[in-house]
Amino acid sequence: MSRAIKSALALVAGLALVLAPGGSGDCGRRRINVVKNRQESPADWQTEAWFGRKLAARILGNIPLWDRPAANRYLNLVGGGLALYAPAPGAVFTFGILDSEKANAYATPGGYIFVTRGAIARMRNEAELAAVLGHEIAHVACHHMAKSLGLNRHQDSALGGMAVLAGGATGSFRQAISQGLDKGLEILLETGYRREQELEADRLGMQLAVMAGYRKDGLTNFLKRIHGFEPSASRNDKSHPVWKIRLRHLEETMDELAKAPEAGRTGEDRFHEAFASLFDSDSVDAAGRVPE
Amino acid sequence: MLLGASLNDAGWADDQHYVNVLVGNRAGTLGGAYTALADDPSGCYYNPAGIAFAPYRSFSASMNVFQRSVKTYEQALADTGGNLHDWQQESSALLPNFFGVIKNSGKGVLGLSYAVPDAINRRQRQSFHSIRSNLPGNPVENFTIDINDSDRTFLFGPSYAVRLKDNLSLGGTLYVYYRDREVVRNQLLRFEQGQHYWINYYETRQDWGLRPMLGMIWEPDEKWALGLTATKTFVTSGKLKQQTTFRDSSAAAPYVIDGITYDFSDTDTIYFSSATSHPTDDLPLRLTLGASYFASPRFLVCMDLSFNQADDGREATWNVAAGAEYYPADAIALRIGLYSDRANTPALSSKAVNQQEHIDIYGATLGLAVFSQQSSLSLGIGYAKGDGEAQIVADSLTIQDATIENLTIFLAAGYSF
Repeated sequence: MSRAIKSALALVAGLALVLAPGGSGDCGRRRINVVKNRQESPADWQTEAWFGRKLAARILGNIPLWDRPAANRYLNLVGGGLALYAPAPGAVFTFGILDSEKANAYATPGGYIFVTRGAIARMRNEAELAAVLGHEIAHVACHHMAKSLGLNRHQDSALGGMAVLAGGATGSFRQAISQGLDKGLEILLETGYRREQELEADRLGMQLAVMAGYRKDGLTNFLKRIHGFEPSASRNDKSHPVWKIRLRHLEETMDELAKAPEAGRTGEDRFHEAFASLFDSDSVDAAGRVPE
Repeated sequence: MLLGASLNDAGWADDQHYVNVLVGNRAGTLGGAYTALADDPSGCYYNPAGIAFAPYRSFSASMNVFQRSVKTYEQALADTGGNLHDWQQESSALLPNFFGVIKNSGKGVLGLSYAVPDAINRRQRQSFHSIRSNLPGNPVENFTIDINDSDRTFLFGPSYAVRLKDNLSLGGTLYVYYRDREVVRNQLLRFEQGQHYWINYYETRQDWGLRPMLGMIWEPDEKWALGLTATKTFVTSGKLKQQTTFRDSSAAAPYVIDGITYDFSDTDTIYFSSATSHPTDDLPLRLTLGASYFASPRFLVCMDLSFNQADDGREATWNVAAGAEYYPADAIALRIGLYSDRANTPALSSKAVNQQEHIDIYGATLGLAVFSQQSSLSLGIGYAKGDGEAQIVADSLTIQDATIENLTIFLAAGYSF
């Protein structure tokens, strides 16, 4: 091969590597037979639910549930309404409030969704809560954790096809599970999902909220408020992309939805009634934090 | 020499085209436009970078092909009544054309594949009567030609691909190249005045080499994928054995060919020659650029543009292929492809002799694939036609019109796990 051709190939490869934006993944490439095959695979959902339960237990080992049964029932009512519209036929969604003043929300595979009371304290209405829950439901529906860890049967990793392997748990398998759970917890609490996964969850989450009858600007309003409360959060919190990028994508998604911004319900009264203790002026400090 | 008594060897080899057999199940029915797709085991052959985009962690595929080809040299011989006769060669082969398996390994995808990109089983058995000759008043009473050629190229070896980013992959394939050729040609001419001319030629050739391929795929967005490959075949060892048995009782006087004097004044004389050589002729570099547009999960279109570099005896050659795939139902895919297979030889000149034939071929493919959860079954059909020129008679300025028609039937299966 001549030197010129070698150089040209190296140049093309180098340019592509440098210029290629983090990307689209291979969603567009997937044909309908593959998409259907994956959506309708009970084995994958069983695998994810099995792993998700263990990961949820670890989360609860770090942050306990907020002991307010009525508030948790309300959360499940709102979340269950959204889950009806989720493209996740094999998931069983369960929602819980974590007793932490930090504002965050987490989803584990199979449908375990947590939101902190600190996040709820920064919300203004049910539409914002629905938007946050919709975002987390979307992480589950899009199998983001499963893809990151290689959980399903299409991925060749130590954890791939766990449902098949779980019956004959060996020492090396248990070690792989333990490492997988550590990695999952790291993604949820520290490193975060990949940027394109967060943007995908934003988009689908908004669509779920709108389909459930809520205003479409719930997540946008919440993110703006979070940014206002904690200006440094977008820089330090690696679990979410820079808030401006998310807001821009959310606004593009809102533009694509024909619904007017003011259309849809906010559910403000019901929200404040359910979380009255959080919004009691005596129990919320100036930054919106609830004392322990 | 007698008119029609010797074939132009240059016109009988079959190295003038680069797309002799379409390889791979999905790729074959897309006309071979697979450089930007390549996300199944046949990606090892078309673009190893593509296997990094395979939707399953393990995937195997096999394919069988039946190919029938008819090549016609029009009006090649004239009889004493002024009628012109075509020469016609047929080739048919049923062969396992591809097997490949890919599997996630480490941070990338490992592949192993076997492909037969070229397979010919050429036959010609024809007899002609009262053919004109250049012996005054002594036409050829009976001309019998019998040809049995087989020529197959095998590729087998590993591939590996990694995704450097979600939308960018690099891959390589290192094929072992093996070509096995056997040529048997027998011609007998009997003249009205009793003389005869007989030549039997036998050749075997085995080439071993390496065919590395480098490829990349880049998806600038969800709808588009671009692929690029470079490949070249290096023949590291070759063995060519040639045997010729020859008798010509029509010659009135001794004559010289290639420095050898042929004297048939003794009626029992038969000339026999045998030679062995070790040619190592590399094949030219090929660059292919492909693009795919994923219009929806049910519909895509793809296109390849390939360039084969010029080298000794071959001209630089461009080919194009295009394909489309549509899913009328979730588990059924229809595919269509168009492709060119242009000759790498120059157009024939009316002032030269012993020129290689020049036939540009254009083909179309149609395929149907049915999927279950973990397997697929595909059936395809291809048709190609080419028109051009040839010069099949040695040392003659006469040029014949030549046509090629190819019919191919594909049967393939895939299994993912």
